[in-house]
Amino acid sequence: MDKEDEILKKMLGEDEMPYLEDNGFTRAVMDSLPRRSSSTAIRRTLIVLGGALAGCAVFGALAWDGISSLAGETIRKLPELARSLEAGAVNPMIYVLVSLCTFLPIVFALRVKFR
Amino acid sequence: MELKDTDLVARVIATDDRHAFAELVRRHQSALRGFLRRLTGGDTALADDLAQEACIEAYRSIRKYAGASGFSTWLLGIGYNRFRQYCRKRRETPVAEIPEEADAALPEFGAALDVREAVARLRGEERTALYLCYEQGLSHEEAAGVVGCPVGTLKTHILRAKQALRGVLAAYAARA
Repeated sequence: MDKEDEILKKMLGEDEMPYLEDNGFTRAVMDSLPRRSSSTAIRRTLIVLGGALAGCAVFGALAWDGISSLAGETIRKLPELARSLEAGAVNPMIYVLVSLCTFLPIVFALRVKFR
Repeated sequence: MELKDTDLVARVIATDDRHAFAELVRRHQSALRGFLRRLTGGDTALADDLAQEACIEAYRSIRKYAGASGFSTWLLGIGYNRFRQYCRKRRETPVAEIPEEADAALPEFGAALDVREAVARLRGEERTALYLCYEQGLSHEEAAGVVGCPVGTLKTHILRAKQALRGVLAAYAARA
């Protein structure tokens, strides 16, 4: 840095703009930001509703058709589960499956960022 | 631990994290508003309006921030463009009228030397280049990025500013 640079830095330093307090500036900026896209909200809602409907459908299929439904067939492949079903016992795994069908899309919808 | 600007930007991009963006604004509002106050000749209301517009534009185009320069430098560049747009809208040139003796050294102001007045008489680009490099402490490359001109042009602005201020600099040095 030559002498002129040093003097300039000192000169402008004396005239330096002090730190400006925020005084609500950030708040004003945040209030002016565009709202989140409504299509994103709609998509999220649809995924949650879709998940809930899928859960209901699985539950309904199992309740209506028992183990002959596709879901039931799949589950029947698991020996222990099949035994419980044949015995007529309500297997907690069904509820776990229904819960997963319902809640996984919710988690997905909340985490996924739509563009 | 305080997050780095780049981490905050990543959060804004990934999850539209508005708290992260608010933190970025809080960190850099002073530099941006101060810079725009310089450009607008101390018009605080106008400077704050332009700064607000610059922040909103930064939010909208944050995906374009490549991280090559500091976030502050990038934001100052947006602010500078906003100021130029404002000048164009007002059908004013962003630079002050060039005085006939602009290439010559300014007359010495003697003991009553007013640094502010001397700098205010510089051309707009020269004044901006000086503030960016000597007050904000940006490198020539960063300052050129802010005003959107080649580094060589920025250096020319600084050189001309120094030539114009030569008399003032000498008087200042003698007084110091």
